[in-house]
Amino acid sequence: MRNYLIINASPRPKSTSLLLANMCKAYLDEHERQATVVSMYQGGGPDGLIDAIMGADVVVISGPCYVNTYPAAVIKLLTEWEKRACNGQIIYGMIQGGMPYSHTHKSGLNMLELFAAKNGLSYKGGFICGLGPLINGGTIDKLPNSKALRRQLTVFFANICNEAESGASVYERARMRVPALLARILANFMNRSIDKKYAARGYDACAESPYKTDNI
Amino acid sequence: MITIVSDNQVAHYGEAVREKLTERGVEAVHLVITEDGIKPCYGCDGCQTKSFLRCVFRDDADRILPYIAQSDTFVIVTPLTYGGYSYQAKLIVDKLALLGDVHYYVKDRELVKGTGSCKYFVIGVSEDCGEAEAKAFEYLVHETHVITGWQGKAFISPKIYDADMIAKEITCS
Ligand SMILES: Cc1cc2nc3c(=O)[nH]c(=O)nc-3n(C[C@H](O)[C@H](O)[C@H](O)COP(=O)(O)O)c2cc1C
Repeated sequence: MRNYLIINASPRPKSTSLLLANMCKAYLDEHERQATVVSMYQGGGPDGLIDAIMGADVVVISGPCYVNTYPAAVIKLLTEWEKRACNGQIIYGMIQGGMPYSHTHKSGLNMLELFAAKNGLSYKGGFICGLGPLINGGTIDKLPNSKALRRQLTVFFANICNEAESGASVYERARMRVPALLARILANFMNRSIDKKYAARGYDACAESPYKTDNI
Repeated sequence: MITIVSDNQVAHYGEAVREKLTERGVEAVHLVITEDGIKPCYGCDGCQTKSFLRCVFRDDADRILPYIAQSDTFVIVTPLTYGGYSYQAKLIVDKLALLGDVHYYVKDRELVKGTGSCKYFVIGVSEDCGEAEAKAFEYLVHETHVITGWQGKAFISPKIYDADMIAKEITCS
C-alpha cells in the first residue's frame, strides 16, 4: 500500500493549514489510502520528520504563507531532507494566506518545484487558497467562495489520491474574485477592526514600530 | 543608513557589499545572523495582543530589527535556496511583518499591506543557479515589494552581479 504523509507546516495549534491537511487525509482515508498527518513543530521539529518522510511515497506540505512563501521551518525541512538521499517521492503543496490573490502565495509552490527538480523528486502541483485567517482553523464554510473551494479541493485531493498532476487551474477555479471596489471596502472594514482590536489593549495602531526607537 | 543582514554562510558577500557602499561614502552597517540565533515566528499573535508590535520571544532578532527599522534601505544576503531564502535568512524575513504598518491599502486595484517608503534589496548568493531558479527568486522578491510597498530589487551574486555593481545599484536607486 502506498504511504501518504501530510505535513502541517503551521506553528499554530488550531490552524487553517491543519484543517486543510485533515481534509486531505479524510479524502484519502475514504479512498482507502494509508495517510498520516504530522505537525512540523511537534516531536522535534523539522529534523524529527525526516524519518517519516523517508517512509512515505507521497508527501503533501500544507502551510501558511509568511511573507510570500512558506515559513522558515519549511526551508529547514527541505534542506534536511536534501541531506538524506531523497528517494524519488512525489510531492504536492498547499499554501494559504490572508490575501485573496494566488500570485502573492505562488512562491511557496515554486520553491517545492525547484526543490523537487534539484533532488530527483516528482513535484505534481499544488493548491493556493486565500482568506485563510477567515477560516482560522475552523471551517471553510465561513468563506464567501466556500462552495467552489470545497469542490476544487476535492479535485485536488483526487489528484493526490491518483498521484496525478494538479495544475493551477484547479485552484484558480476556486479563487474569490475581489474587484477594486470590494478591495476598498474590505480594507476599510479590516482597518477598523484592527484599530479597535489595538485600542482595546491600549495601543495606537498608527504608532510607529517600537524597534524604531530602540538603541542600536 | 543602509543595513545589510547576512546569513552567516555567506557573510563575506554581505561584507564585500558593505565595503563597496562605504567606498561610495554611504553609511552602511553589516550584521551577521548567528547560527540558530533567531527563533521562528510561531504565529502566536503575541506581538498584537501582549507587546505592541514587538515579538514576545527574546532572540537575535532583538539586535537586528532595530537596525532594519531605523534604516531607509536594508539588504538581506542569503544563499539562494530553492529560488528563495535560506532557513536562517527566512527566520528574519518572517519577522519583518513586525515592522510594517498594520493597516491594509489598495494599490493597483489589489489589497496590500503597509505603504512604507523603505528600500528592500535581496542578494541571493549562487554561482550556478539556473534560469528557473533565478526567475523564481526575482518573482518572490517582487511579490514582497508588491505586498509591502517597499522598493528595491533582487540580485543574484556572483553569477550576475558583483559587489561593486550591487553597491552602485543600491546607491543609485
Ligand atoms: C509572520 C507572518 C507573515 C505573514 N505573511 C503573509 C503574507 O505575506 N501574505 C498573506 O496573505 N498572509 C500572510 N500572513 C497571514 C497568514 O498566512 C494567515 O494568517 C494564514 O491563514 C495562517 O495560517 P495558519 O492558520 O495555518 O497558521 C502572515 C502571517 C504571519 C504570522
